[in-house]
Amino acid sequence: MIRWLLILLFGFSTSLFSAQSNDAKKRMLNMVGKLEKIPPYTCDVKINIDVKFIKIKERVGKMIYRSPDDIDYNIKGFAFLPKKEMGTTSTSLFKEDFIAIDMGKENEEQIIKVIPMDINSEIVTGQFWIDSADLIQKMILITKDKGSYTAEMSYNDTPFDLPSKISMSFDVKNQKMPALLTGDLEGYADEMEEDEVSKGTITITYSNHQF
Amino acid sequence: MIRLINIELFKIVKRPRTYIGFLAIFLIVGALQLAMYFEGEELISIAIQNLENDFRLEGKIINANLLTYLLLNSIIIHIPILICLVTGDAIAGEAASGTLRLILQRPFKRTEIYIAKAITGFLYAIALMVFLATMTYGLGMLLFGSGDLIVLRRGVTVIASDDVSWRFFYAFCSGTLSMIVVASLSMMISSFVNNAIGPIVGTIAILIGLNIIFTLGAPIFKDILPYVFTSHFIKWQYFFDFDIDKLALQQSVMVQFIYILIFNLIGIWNFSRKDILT
Amino acid sequence: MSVILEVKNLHKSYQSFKAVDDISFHVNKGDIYGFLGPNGAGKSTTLRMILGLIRPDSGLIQLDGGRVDYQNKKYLNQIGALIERPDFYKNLSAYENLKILYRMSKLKDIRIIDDVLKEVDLLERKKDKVGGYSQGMKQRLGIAQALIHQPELIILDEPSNGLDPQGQADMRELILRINKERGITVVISSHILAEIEKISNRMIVINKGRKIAEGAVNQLMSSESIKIQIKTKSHAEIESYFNTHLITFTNENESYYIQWEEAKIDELIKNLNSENISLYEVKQMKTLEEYFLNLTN
Repeated sequence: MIRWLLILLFGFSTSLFSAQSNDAKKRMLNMVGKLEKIPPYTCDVKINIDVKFIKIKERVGKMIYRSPDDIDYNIKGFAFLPKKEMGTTSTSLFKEDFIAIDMGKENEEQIIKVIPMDINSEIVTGQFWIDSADLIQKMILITKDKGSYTAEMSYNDTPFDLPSKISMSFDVKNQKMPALLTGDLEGYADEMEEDEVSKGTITITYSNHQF
Repeated sequence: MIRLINIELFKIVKRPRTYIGFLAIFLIVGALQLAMYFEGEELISIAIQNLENDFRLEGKIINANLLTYLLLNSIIIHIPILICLVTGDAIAGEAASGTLRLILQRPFKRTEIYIAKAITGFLYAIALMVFLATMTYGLGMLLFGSGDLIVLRRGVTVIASDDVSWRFFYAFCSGTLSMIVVASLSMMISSFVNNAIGPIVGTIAILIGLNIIFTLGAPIFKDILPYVFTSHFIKWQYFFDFDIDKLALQQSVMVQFIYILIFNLIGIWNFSRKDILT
Repeated sequence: MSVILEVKNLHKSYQSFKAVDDISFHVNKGDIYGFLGPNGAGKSTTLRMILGLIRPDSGLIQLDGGRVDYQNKKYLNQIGALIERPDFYKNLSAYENLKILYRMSKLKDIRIIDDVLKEVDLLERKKDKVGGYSQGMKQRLGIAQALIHQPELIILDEPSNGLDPQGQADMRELILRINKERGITVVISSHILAEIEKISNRMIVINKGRKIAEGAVNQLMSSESIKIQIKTKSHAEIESYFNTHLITFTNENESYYIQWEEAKIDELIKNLNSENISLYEVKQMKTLEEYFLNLTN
């Protein structure tokens, strides 16, 4: 009797689990579908960097979006931009088959963990925080050899539910360059620890979208 | 005094050695800029390869502003050598050639003659720095155009192209002040010897020696470093910080002015008293 | 005859070496005053002290009655000089060299440059660089730079150095001309007696930093005037006598040397004895000429 009860319980929880996974996967596929529907557009961008050893004022310019894999920037002057991979990373997660696991809720946002089935995928795992309006509020991607990226989004009624602001955080290794190259003969470089890793953040604010 | 300065300027303008400095700057600047034109990308990529691992870098790194910044570093050794060639010769060279005797037989105090020579030396230093600035920025604009300045000092600082001009102005002023210290030192040494080579070699030896000692960064020297004049030759770099350390710069200006005063006072004192035997 | 230059008790030592040892002399206006001594006697050092190129350890220099003040160089307006070799800015022309010196003077009329170049016969070569000049031309240009500011006194240190006999003759003629025609007092130094003898009217002879003799050339060179060596133990008394009677003397190793007329030696001895100055030797030396030739040989 107890054995049957246990078998019943296991079967029920598995089916519940698989029902939940299917829901999560459906929701993720929904999100990807929305992304693919976005037409090419241009918009104004403001880029701010917060990295321990980089000092740069806000940069302004334009972003040209053609597809999730094809984003270009036209910035006045010099700018530090997120690596292309960060933009394409999230979409590459969904190119092949994947498992989506509902991790529960946090502050009314559903947390879905995505694990790609492709063993060669750059990404080991990704976690998404999605709100009730089906907007991704936050995502964390863990890659094989490029560390982890965290992106937090803000929205303000932009068409196609495009974020008005994205803050991307990632690991950055401290730069220590030879004094001969930099002309810094005051020994500042000695004060920095070799190979010290710190968190860097790039915040991009989007506005004035033209489709 | 104006008369004496005009005479000294006339002598400097007529002397072929004067133009070595300008020619050398022309060649150094030209060579470096051409090298950067052809090989600059490779050199820069070595410097910023770590950055490229974490970011996508958008924009022109090599531009007139970067070249000007890099070439300002030549004031540590190269420009002082060129200045010494003229200022070190001011008294010792004339003593060796016998013309010092000629001008000291005229009704002018030795102090006046020394000051006129010193001012002329300073004007020469200023002229060299102006030429350096013009040559560097002018040729840089021609070859590379303008752009944001990326300073790889104390991390990475990016200065917008429209925020750079005033920084360079003050940086060159600071560099020029340092070169006036060099001119004062070489003139002081020039007043002690009767051959033209002595002040030139002596000044360069002092500059290189002090640079080596303090660059090695021995802890025992750390406390006296702010009072050694060679340590101020790179203070112009402070103008390219995000938050400019005004106090440090003010102290630097003061220290250098004191050195200029001391070197010239010693030079005048010695020159006024020395027996002219040549 | 008024005195234009007076030097009193000039001393200069370099460590233990006495370059100038108590030299005194005076130059009258209009003189061509010879400064004679072998090489290393202290001639150049003395002349450089007059010009303020070297500071004396002690002594007094007066120019036209006024004490020379090294702090105030205005007195150099009255003196022109050519000391040792004629050095100029080799990369500049004769005209440019003189123009520099002209601008350092009080003069207002730039035509003076051409005038002095004409005086020294260099007008046609005025635009040539001095680096290409011969020794004779440089010497003449040296005279020109001494004259450019119209001084009252010029000091020429060995002006015939490096010149051939014709060049030396030309130099003498030039000096005589500027003395006679312009009324400029000349002090000319040399280690060659004949040179001084030919153009100077008064002279001083020095050796090892000390004055040997001073006076009119014709008197000093006269064979009647000889050098006498006097040995005595009464040093204070004899020196007092010489000073009181304005007799120029030198002393070496307890011997005193004076220039005296041969015919008046006995009278001198008598006078010294009457002053209770006991003499234990009086020896006749040579004429000044013989003495000087000995020194320079």
